[in-house]
Amino acid sequence: MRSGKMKRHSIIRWVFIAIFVFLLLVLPRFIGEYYTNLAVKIFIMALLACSFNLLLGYTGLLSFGQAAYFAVGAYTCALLLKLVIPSVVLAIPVAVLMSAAVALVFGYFCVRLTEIYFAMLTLAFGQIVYTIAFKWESLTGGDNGLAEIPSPPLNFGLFTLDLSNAFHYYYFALVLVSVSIGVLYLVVNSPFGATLKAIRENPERASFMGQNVRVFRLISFGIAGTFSGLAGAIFAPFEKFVSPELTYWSKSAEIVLVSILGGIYTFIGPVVGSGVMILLEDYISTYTSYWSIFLGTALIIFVVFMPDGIVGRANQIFYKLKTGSLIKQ
Amino acid sequence: MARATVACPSLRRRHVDLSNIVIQVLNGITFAMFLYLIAAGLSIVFGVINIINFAHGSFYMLGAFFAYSLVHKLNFTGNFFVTLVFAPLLVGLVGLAMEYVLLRRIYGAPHFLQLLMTYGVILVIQDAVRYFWGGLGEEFVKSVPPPPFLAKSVNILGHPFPSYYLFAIFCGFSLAFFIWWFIERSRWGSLIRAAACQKEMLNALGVNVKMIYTLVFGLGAFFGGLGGALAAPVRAAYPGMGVEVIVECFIVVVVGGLGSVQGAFVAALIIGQLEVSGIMFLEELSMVFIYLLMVVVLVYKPTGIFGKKVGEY
Amino acid sequence: MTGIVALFIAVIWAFTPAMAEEKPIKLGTLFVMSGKLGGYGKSGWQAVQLAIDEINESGGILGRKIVAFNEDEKAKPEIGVQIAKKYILKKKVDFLLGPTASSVGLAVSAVCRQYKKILIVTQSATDVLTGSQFHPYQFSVLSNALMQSRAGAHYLAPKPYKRWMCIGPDYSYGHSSWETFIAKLKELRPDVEVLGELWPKLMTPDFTPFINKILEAKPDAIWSPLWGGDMVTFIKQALPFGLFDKVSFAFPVGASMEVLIPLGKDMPEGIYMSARYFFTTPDYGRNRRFVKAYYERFKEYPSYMAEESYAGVYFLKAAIERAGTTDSEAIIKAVEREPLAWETPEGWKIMRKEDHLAVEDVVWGETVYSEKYGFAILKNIESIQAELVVRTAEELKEIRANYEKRMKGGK
Repeated sequence: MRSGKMKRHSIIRWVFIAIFVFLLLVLPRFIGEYYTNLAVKIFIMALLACSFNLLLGYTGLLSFGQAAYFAVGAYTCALLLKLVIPSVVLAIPVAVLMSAAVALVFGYFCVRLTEIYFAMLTLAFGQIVYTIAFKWESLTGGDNGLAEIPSPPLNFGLFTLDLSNAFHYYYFALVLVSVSIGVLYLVVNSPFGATLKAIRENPERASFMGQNVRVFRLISFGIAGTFSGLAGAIFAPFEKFVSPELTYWSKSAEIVLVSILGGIYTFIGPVVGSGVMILLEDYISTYTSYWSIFLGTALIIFVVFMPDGIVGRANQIFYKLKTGSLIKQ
Repeated sequence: MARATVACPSLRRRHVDLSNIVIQVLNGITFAMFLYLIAAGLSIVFGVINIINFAHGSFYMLGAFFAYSLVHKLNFTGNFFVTLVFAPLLVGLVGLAMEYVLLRRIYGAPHFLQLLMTYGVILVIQDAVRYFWGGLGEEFVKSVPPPPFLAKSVNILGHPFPSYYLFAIFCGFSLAFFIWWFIERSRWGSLIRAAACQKEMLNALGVNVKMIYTLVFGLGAFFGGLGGALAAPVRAAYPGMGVEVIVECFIVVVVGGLGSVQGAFVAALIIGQLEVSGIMFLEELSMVFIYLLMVVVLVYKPTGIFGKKVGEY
Repeated sequence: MTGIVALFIAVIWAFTPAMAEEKPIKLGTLFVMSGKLGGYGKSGWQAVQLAIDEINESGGILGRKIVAFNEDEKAKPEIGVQIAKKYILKKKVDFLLGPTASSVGLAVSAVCRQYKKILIVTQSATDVLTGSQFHPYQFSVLSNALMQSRAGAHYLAPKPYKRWMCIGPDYSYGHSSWETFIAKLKELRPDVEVLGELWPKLMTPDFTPFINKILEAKPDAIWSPLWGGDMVTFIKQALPFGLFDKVSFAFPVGASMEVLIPLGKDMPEGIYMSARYFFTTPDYGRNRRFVKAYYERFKEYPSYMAEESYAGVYFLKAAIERAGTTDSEAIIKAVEREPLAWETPEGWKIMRKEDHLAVEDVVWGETVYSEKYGFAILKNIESIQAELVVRTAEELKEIRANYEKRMKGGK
């Protein structure tokens, strides 16, 4: 039974969400074409990071090769658009299925391990995908990548989205990413999600309670891979260029970074982390090529002072302001 | 698949020649020794302090760059061995500083935070190297010449084999022996082993465990720098070389089994031999060997060859 | 009341057309500034700055100053694309220049085509740019991999080498360099024999197994597209084997400061090397002035990466001046009207209209250590005529036809 206070909080929360959604819808009008482009990148990264965090934040598994599924999605979509038929209605779902399949295959081996062994195995698989992308020149274009990926128009009958237009793509990506993140939200708040959290905390106990830990982990891995692949499929027609760097472990590291930065134990942490990181890099790079030292220092300071991530910390501060005490994590 | 190697008869006709096999084995051991020299430090640090030091590759890079500076700027060309001692010492100091200032704070933290922080350190050191060694007129790529008495080859069963590689093999085995003796047999070693397993007990006994950790980390950095200084005369040094080598280091340590220093040695030998044989017979896949190997090992023996820590669920 | 007046003035001021003559021409450059390729970016950016300052001091282009920006593309196409978009959409640059990595070159080139901005390619050497992915919004001022390989074949065909091998980095540049070379060499000397190919992966730390294979096969000569750090490592590791006494080597991109300076005395002599540009030649005023100015300002001798970027800026100047405007379409028309020749430190280059590639001679020579410089330089320098190495008329037709087809397909 909802008390009056809780109901008020609920309403406030929904108002905030509504305002946020409204802002997202009108943003392109105010920020110009370049930042609209950047916004699309942030959406894609947000989805990628959220899918990754299903594994880390909710299942306790650090995947150091998540970029591989992103790249599989991107390459599959690119190849379908270029060689089969320029239609995203076909290309994107097929790309997603492909990434899901690859994720399940790799995941089957990975979920038997934990901790750093799991991470290293995901890394190895990621590098194997990189090698394939790099060497299978006749299919993937090798290290020169695949260029001139078409962005065909999407016809909805009443209106058409011209996907080569950054503003149209913004809404296209916004819808896809929002729905996906919404689905992920439902997943983590479902009984399935609760089991995942239990597994994260204490795998032995979870298994004693009758849960088949490996199967749950595999499903989680598969879901993460699927949405990472979707992020890749959204990326391909937007960027119009895919290359093996998309699978390299440094891209996977970026995903890890961004999620931890935002806070892996909160749902929107990775989303916030994506936005902050991309905007910051864009801003700093304009002024210096010494972006690495800046990022490195920021990371170090961050780990020491804000290990719960931006959102985690924000939550703590918020809670402290409200109740005068710190949340015990 | 991509271009096939044009396999011409003269190359493929394999001499089942003892001398060829011996040379191949030696090549594999050399490769392994360079791997081991870099990975040893990482293995010790993880085994004793249980910290994942992603920045270990940077120690390797610093070792090479310090060696370069000592040789070229400070004119140490005269004595190669002095450089071989001083460069790692400098790196060791960096390691000590890093442990004292940064790592102490995150000992209890989950591994992914350690990863994040040490990744931050890599980035900082990388740009620092670019800045300090990349002034006006400086090339990005640096080269350290080998000492003249090690710059030629010796004749092994009719084939030339660089004497520097023999030296590297000697160094690798010596290091392995030294580490084994130090940890298993010496007094300090027993302290270190105790610090690894029974930290609280040791503290209660009045031993300064914190300092042991600091020294061990400094030692790990020293070894990493040693690897870099040793590799410098036979490899090009450039900013970013640490990042490229760190993944291989981790593979060596994981395949050998986390926490086992002997494991790292054995793993390095296996990986070295496989890489070399792979290049000889299956060049197409040379990019991916080391990863395939890790997949195979981890699937069949999830804790690595000598692994002590629990890695499987 | 004052508010309305202020508003009125502001509106008038905002709508008054800006004095076009005073607005600077904006050039956005991309190079790899960090990592192992960082040296190329450093050279390139230094050269661009030198060119810009020289041009501005002598009156600018069409009376306007030119100003340049630089960002690090980090050899990642994703970043290259973002920087290109930032330059075009946010900074509103008029032209782009660079980048270093070939894959980034291809990605950025596509963005330039999309937004109809001209890209001056000064470091990416992939011949795909002016070949199968050609489009008119780019101009390549450097001799690409194709030209280098063909020149190498012409240079080496008269020499007494029959048994050939190749060792190169395992990626598209390495492969295409070898394939183009050996195809041309076989044309010129049908009696050559190929003993094998070796493809160490990029950034191989240990070349010993490959060196052993070479020793086993005993070729007369080797073609090696290795460059930069890989080349330095390879040479260091090959020296103890006495490999260079037994086998002749040809490095098509070897004569680079990046490699010659670190190796110093260790660089073996008598190795055939080519470079798009080598600072000791040609020995004439324009080059001497350039080398002197570059050395004084940056304390090092200009590598070809520097000179090509420098030449790129001067090409831009020539193109704008011929067109009389900075409008992209007008410039393309002006340059394609008849071949545009402009002066660079390596001599006069000509921009060809069919594939937007600069026509220039390729220089080959042999290494010799120089006491004066403290590193090896080239002697016995030969210049392979451009006409021998550029694309033939049929190849050019094909490129243009392919372009039309791709455009019809609709992007």
